[in-house]
Amino acid sequence: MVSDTTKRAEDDTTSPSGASDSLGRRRFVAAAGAVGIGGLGGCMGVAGGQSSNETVLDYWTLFGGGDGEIMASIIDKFNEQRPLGENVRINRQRTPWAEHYTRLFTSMTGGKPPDIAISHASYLRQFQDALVDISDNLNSNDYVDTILDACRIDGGQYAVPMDSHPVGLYYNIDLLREAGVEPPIDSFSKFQEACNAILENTDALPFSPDPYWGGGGGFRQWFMGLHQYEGSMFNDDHTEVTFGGDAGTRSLDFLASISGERGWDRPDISADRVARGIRNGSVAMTVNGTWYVSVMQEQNYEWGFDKPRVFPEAQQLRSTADSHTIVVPKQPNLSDERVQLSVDAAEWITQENPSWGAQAGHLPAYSPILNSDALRKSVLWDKTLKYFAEMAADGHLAYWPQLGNADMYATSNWTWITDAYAQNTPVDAAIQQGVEAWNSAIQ
Amino acid sequence: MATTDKLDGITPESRSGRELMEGVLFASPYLIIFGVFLLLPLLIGGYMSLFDWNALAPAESTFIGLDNYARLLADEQFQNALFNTAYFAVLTVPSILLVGLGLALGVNRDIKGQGFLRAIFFSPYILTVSVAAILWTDLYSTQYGVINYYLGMVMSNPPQWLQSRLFAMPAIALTTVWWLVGFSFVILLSARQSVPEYLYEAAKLDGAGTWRQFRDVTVPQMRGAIFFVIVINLIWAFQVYGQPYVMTAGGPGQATETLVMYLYQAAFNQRSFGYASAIGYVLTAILVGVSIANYYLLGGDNE
Repeated sequence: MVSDTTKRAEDDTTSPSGASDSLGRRRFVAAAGAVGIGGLGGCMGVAGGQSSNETVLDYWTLFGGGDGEIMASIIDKFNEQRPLGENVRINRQRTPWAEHYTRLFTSMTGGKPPDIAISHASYLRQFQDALVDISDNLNSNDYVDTILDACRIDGGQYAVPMDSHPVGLYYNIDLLREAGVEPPIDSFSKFQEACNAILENTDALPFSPDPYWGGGGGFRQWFMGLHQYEGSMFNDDHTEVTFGGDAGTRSLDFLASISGERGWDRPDISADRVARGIRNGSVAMTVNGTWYVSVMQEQNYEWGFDKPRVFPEAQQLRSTADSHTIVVPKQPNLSDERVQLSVDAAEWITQENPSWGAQAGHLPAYSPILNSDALRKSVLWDKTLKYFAEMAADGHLAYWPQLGNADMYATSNWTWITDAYAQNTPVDAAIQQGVEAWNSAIQ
Repeated sequence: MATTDKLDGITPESRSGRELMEGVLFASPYLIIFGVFLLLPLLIGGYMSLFDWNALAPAESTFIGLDNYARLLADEQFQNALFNTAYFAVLTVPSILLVGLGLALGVNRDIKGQGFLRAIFFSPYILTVSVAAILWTDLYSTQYGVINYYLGMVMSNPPQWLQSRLFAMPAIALTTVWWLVGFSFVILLSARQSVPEYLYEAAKLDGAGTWRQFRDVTVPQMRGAIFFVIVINLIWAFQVYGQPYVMTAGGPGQATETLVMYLYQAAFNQRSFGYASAIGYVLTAILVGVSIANYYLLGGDNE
């Protein structure tokens, strides 16, 4: 290349006119090209980020806040201990929740996905075609059966299960006591009594079903009510919407009554209103997932937790649940050795780190950790985890359905719930809108 | 020249060919970028719209002809998104034109601080959509928003701007007008400043008042700029995505879900890339149709 360019430059000096200008321009272009190629090479070197004898596994996560810090510490531990060999390192990249699946999906379609990535179990069927079946690579099956089953589709094993994250009732004990109520909140009548007492005796709002109305928590809580009233969202093969009847309506009717006739909350779904209220003590109770412990632990008041018995006349206790899992996306020219290394890394993350439960608050999927002293003697065990574990053991978890062509978390699929909560739309009309939206989504 | 050409051994024909070649070479960077990043995706999109497209395994996609377009006709969510987008365009395009024109004519007067006002009116336009949307979301906030703080002094229940079916889209439209009007203002100001003063002097001699001067001199002379402002804002309005995405996520219900939001949802939430491509093609057809209609209604005889 260099000699060719040099030769052309020498030839140019024999041109009858404008030779020096032409030469200058061409030298500039050649230099710019060389710099560009050098830059590209530099970028590629940085992207690779590894020396010749080091194997780097790219790992995409979606965790922020408290559990994001715990996951970062787990990967730091991996990179310090090097459990899969001195030359194997994990490069963790965190993407915001809202962008994680779009980014993962586009990386899969582009043929450049990470080696391992976090995926909710509810997304596995959507990604099935782009995931490696790791049935022959998994070294241990000692995971909680229901969570492990959620990682199996059509007889194949498509993920290493990491946890289960149901939801429960979090409350401000100081506010309860100010209202004259003593925890636990172990029945709907006790919950109702607490809400009314807080309304009458304090300046706080008693209860909002979701601390982050813009994030889909209201949908999660409606889904919980649907199952507490023995309903379901879809038929077994997910081709038909089934929540348009009594159970779905009762669940939404109760949620709308919280901001309506019960007056326990305002019909205001501003994204951060309740989150601020929980923090500053102007909202007493809310429902959220395992991960919310990191927020509650930061508060300067005494807080408590109970199973979510928040729906009146519920036929059964159910809590909405999903699982974090670790998947191995397909890649062009992916070797068996690389797949095995990726699965080994995923197993190390899920099997060797009690902190994912003891500190991040999630219910570990790996049975030896779930039954370990490290977890059961942790502060969070008595606070939240034992309740989550009981619900899991008693079959009280209602898992998100695994849809093949629709996203359970997509905002447009649940705004009919927030619309009813904001008292914009009557419950029956909102349910009808929901049925139409989901019928369109699962087509 | 002919002598020189002969001396150089270059005939007029070969010179013409060489100029053509130089022209193509100069245009080639743009042509390559246009071809790779616009034309090719456009053609691929049209191809995809005829399939039940499997993005993870394209070879397994099923040819379904015009089924995606037929499905659009019966899709109420698409019709809702189309209506919302048209409503947004109706709210924003005339407002941007009128406010932009008003600001341009005002600043064009012989007043102090003209440059400062130009900068102030243009400055929102330099913000990114997320910054503008978050700023106005805070202004509209029911908890700490300045708007409801002052409205609360004169009314007991100020509107929940972004949560009300009635107010959500107008609130987004107001944000958009504030954010984008600066661009149209600059275009219209430039057009107004290029209108020759003698036309106004002649109109005055003929007894034309302020309104007649505006109607018969200013507007006709600025017709090209007005046409451009309308068309560009219509295109932007039909492509709206960022403001409703950040401010309302398409809610309440689906009251602010726009065509591009629905397209994105079809593609990345439902993984229906063929259907999303069909939505994109319908959107393109609408924009081309609206632009042609505008051309004949407003700009057809403009040189």
